[in-house]
Amino acid sequence: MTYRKLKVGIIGLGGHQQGYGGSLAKRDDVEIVAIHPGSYLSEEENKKRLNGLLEYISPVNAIPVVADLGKMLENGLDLVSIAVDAKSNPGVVIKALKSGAGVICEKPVAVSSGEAAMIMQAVEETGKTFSWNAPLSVFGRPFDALGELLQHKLLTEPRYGVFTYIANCFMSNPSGGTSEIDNFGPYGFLAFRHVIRSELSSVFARGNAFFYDSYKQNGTEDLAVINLQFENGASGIIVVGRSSSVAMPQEIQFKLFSKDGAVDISNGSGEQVRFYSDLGESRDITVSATPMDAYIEDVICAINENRQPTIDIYDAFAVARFCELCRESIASGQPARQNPA
Amino acid sequence: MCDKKVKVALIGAAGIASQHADAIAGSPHAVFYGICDINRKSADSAAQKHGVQAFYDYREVMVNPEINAVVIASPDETHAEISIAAAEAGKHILVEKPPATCRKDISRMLEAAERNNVQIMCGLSQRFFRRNRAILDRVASGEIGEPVFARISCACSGNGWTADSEYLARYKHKPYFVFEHNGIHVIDLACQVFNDFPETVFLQSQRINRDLPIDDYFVASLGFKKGVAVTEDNRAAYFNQFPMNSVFQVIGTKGMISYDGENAGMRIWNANGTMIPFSTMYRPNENGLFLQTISFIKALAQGGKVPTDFRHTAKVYCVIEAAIQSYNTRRNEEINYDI
Repeated sequence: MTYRKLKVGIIGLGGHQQGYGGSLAKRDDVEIVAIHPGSYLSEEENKKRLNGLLEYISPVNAIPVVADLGKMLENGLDLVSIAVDAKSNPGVVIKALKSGAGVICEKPVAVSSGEAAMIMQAVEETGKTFSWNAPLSVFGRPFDALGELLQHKLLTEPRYGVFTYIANCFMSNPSGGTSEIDNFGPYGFLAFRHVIRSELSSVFARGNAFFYDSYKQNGTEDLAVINLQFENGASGIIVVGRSSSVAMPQEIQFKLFSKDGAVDISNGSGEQVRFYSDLGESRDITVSATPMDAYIEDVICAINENRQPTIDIYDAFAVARFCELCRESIASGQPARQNPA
Repeated sequence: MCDKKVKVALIGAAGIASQHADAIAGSPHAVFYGICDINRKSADSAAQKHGVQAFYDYREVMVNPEINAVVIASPDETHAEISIAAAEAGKHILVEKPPATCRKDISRMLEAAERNNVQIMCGLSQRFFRRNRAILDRVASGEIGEPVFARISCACSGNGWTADSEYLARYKHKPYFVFEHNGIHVIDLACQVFNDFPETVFLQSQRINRDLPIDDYFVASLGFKKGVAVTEDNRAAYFNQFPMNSVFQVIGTKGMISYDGENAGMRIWNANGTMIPFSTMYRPNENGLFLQTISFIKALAQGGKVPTDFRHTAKVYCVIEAAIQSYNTRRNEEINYDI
C-alpha cells in the first residue's frame, strides 16, 4: 500500500523535539512543514533552541517558524508533535485534534486525570490518532523483545515485577507536575500495564526529597518507592528517582516473574533481555529499530490506518490516575485505592 | 583469655541442620557432642556421619550436664520451647530464625536466658556473608553519606522445601509462612543499613507458582525516619539457569553501593566514582551460616559475647509481626517495639 506524504508540524522547541523531530525528519513519508515555538522565553533563548532543533530535523532546508498556532493548524496538518509545559498540554492538544491533526505529546500529558479525561473525550470525538511519549518501556529493544515473548506465549500470566529508573542527574528547578513520580513513574507504570494487561486496583507509595534542596523547596520527591496491585491479582514495585552521585550510570531495570518463566532486563536502554524458563532456556533476544524510530513508525502507521497507536490516550489517562494515587498515598501514609469501598 | 572447647549438641537433623552440623564439626573450638531429632532415622544417620551420639528427645540433651551449648535447628514452632528448656538447663543457645512465632515467646526466651545467665543468639546468617558485611561496613563508614534508600532482595533457587507443595501444605493456615520463616534476614539487613528500626511496614505478597498452597514472593516496604527500604523474599525463582538474583543496593546522600547477584557483582559510586571489582568482595563458595555457627562457638570458647544481640533480633521480629498484620489488613502498619 502506498501512502501519501504526511504533513507534520512541530509545537515547542524543547530538547524532546530533537528526538521526535529527528525520527520524523528522516522518514520519506513525512514532511515537516512548520514550527511553532510553543511558549516564548526570550528572543535569544528561542533562537538558540530553534537552531538546536533544526540541526536534528532540517540541517539543510529552512522550515518556516509560525507565530500564530491557530493559523499553523489551519494548514491541514496530519500530525503535530507537541512538547510544551504540562499545564499547557490540554489546551494545545485539544486544539490540534479539533483541527484534524493527529498528535504526539510529550509526557506528562496532563497534570490531573481530569485533564487527561478532557483529552480522551477530544480523541474519541474527533477520532484522531493520539500518542504520548514514553517509548522506552514499550519500544525499547529489551521491552519490545519482552512483548514478543508474551505474544508468542513463551511467557504467560506475569505475576510480579520490579521496575527501577534511577537517573544520574537532577533537575535544578523541579516544579509542580514534574515530580519524579510524574517524570519517571510513567515509564515504570507503562512497562507493567503493557505486560500485565489489567487495570490498577491500588497503590502504596513512599517518597521524599532525600538529596536535593531544590526538590525540598518545591515539596517534590527526588526518590519514590511504589507498590502496585492490579485487578487481576498481579503486583509489583517501581523505584524511581535521582541518584546522589553523578558518577553513577543511569539505571533502568525490569525483572518480571511468571509461573513459566522469568525475564531480566538489566539495562533498559540496552539491547538485551534474558529469559529463563523451566525448559532450560536462557535466551537473548534483540530487535533492530531504536525505541524512538519504532515508536514513530507505530504512530505513522496508526495515522495511515486511522486507528489509535500502541501507546494511546487510555494509557495516558491510566498514568495520570496512577500519579494521582501515588500522591494520595504519600499524603495519607496508606494505600490509595482506585475504587475505594 | 579463656579458650576452652565448648561441648555442643545440635537439635534437629533435617534441612539446614546439616550445615550447622558441618560447622560444629569444623570448629576448632567445639567438641561435637551429639545430634537430636525425634525422627530416629534422621538422628541416627546424621550422628553416624559425624561420629557423635544420637538423641531422640531434646529433654535428654538438656539433662546432660556435659553439654555447654545447643544449636537449635528444629521446626519454627518448636524454637521457643526448646530454647527456654536449654536456658533453664544452663546451656548457651544458637536458635535458627525465626527466633519464635510470636512476640510473647521471644520475651519468655529472653527472660529465661537472662535469668539463667546464658547467652542466646538467633541465626541471622545473612549478616555473616562477606558481601553483605562489606556493604554494611562501607555504609557505616559514611563512604556514601547518610543512607536514604535500600533495596535488599533474597532469592532462592526454589529447590527443596520451597517448591514442595506437600511440605508447604502443612502451613496452609498461614499463607505468609515463607515470609515468617525467611523475611527476617532481609529486614535485619535493612535495619543495619539505617542503624535504626522502621516506624511502619507495608507487606505485599504474590503466588507466582500457582501450584503451591501458600504465597512464594513477599515485598516489604519499610518506612525509616531517614529513608525507605524495600525488601524482597523470593522463593519462586527456580527457573533453569536463573541467577540467584540477590540484590543489595543502598543509595546514600553522597553515593550508591550495589551488589547485584551474579549479574554485575559489587559496585560503588561515591564522589570519586569508585568501582570495586566483584572478585575482591565476594567469594562464591563462602557460607554465611557456617561462619555464623563457628563465630558463636568461638565467642563462647573465648568467654566473649556472642556476635548477634538477641534483643536486637527481638526488635526485628516486631517488624515481622507488624508486616504479617499488614498482610492481613492491607494497610501500612505502625510497629510496636514493646518486648
